[in-house]
Amino acid sequence: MKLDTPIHQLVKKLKLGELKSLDLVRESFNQIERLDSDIQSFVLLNEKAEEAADKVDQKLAQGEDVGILAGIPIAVKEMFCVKNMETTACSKILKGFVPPYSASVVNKVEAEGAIIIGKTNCDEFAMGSSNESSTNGIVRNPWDFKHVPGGSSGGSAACVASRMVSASFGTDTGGSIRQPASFTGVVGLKPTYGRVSRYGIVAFASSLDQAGPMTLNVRDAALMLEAMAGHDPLDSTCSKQPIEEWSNQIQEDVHGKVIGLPKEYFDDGLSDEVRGSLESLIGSLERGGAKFIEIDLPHTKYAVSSYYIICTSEASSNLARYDGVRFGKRSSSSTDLDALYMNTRSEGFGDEVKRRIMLGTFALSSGYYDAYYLKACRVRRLIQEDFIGAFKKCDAILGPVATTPAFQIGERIDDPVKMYLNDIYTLSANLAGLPGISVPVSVSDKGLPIGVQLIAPHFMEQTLFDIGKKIEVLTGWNQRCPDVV
Amino acid sequence: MIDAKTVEDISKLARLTLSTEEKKRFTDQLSQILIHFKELDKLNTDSVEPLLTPTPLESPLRIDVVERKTTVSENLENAPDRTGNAFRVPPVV
Repeated sequence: MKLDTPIHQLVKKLKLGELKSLDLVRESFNQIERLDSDIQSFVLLNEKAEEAADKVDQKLAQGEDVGILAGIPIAVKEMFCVKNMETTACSKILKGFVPPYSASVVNKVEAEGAIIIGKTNCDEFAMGSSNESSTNGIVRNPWDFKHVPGGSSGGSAACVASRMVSASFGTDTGGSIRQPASFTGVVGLKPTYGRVSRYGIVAFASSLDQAGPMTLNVRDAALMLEAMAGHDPLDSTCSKQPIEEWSNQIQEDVHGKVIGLPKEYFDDGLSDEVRGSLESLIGSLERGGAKFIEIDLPHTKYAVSSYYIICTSEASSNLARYDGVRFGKRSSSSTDLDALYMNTRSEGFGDEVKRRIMLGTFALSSGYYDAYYLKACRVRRLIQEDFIGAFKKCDAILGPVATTPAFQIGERIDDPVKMYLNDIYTLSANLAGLPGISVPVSVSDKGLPIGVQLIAPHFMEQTLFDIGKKIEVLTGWNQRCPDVV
Repeated sequence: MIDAKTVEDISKLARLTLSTEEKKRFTDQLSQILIHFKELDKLNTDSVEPLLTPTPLESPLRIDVVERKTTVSENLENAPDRTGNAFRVPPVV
């Protein structure tokens, strides 16, 4: 299998003419045909992928510089607009929407030669932690079909874990890249807020949303970020920080690195299995020269409440645009304009999306705004200050991604509070705008992957790649893959 | 914490019509969630400035030149109902 090979090695072979992009794309489609009726990671395949691969092959044959992702098959979460490909955010309300433009980050990777294989399944509007709220059906974890792949980028995680593509795009508002990466044994990076343009990505919570790569190894994640990052005049929150060759600069030597362990992240809520695998990793890193210190993030216990008030408030505002007038679904049975809005939205949104719109509308409504929304934003500052204080003492923070390995399909879907609490370790990085990565570490007794999370100061993704690469070497994870593959 | 009447008022603001079953379920679930949110009241944040977005915001300016990236007809392609270059909707008045 070629899709098992790191991207930089594939690109090298493609450039030397030892491999054709068309072969990679065909392998990708074969793997999807073989496995995806069970896993359900794709909602749409790109009919023009082979044509695009052929063009890249021709350019490469003529010695043209096609880019750092020349000929590499990748998948894109259903939250990203791709020109002339239906984009629905896995919601009925966007059924039939075909964007006349692509997200800036899609244009960027295509300009670097990547081939888009298709769009991947996710929770409706990326609202969920289990990929059970998609209108396109539940995605199954390739390691065990009875378990969820995590969410919301469940399809993007599952398709990489099962070697259907070399890499995928996810979006992460409260952990939606890192948690499914951990559940499926792949690398998932949430870059610093502002590192990657949000233009053309379906908006969920604009001050928290960030796109990032999901890959089989740390170096691939760094390479993908090189292609995805950079200033975009179409997104005023997108940073002008320079893009570096992160993938070529990785230093896996952790001697002298100081890594903080927040005691709040190793409390009673953490399962013994995850704790055990992190403790053994910490031991290995210590023997490798890293220094560990205990740190305090005292406002961690308030993060879930702060996050869910802010993300639902922003979502209720962002999703006001779905009114049945300009695009997407329109209810057919309305005699006046207000009924058209009400009917379209009631028929088009699923249960979790309605719940979040209701919660956000409540938090922003007159009489409750100060007590909920503004209060949550004040707590958000305290959470960010906790991290700023901690990073005066350490280079990075290490902790769990989720309390447990992947849970079973149906296990938590009827209990929103329990589902929300599941995001406790990931959502603080979004509130504070920090970069975070999930790297696979071990498998549980039941054979399900367990990942570790690293968080670094703003725009210090290189630190995540350096320590992440060391972890990859120490655990030898690269050799593992789900049995179905 | 939150009663059926509040849920109904909020659903009107959110332009959502809820079934009787949804109203009951959301009243229960939103109450549970709001009880959880109440823990924020334990923190005194009177002197803390709200953090609205995680990185400092600039107001980038550009030269005021029209750029046409898509055509009018491309932009109207997704309209559920249209007449000429306009969106058609039910009567407003």
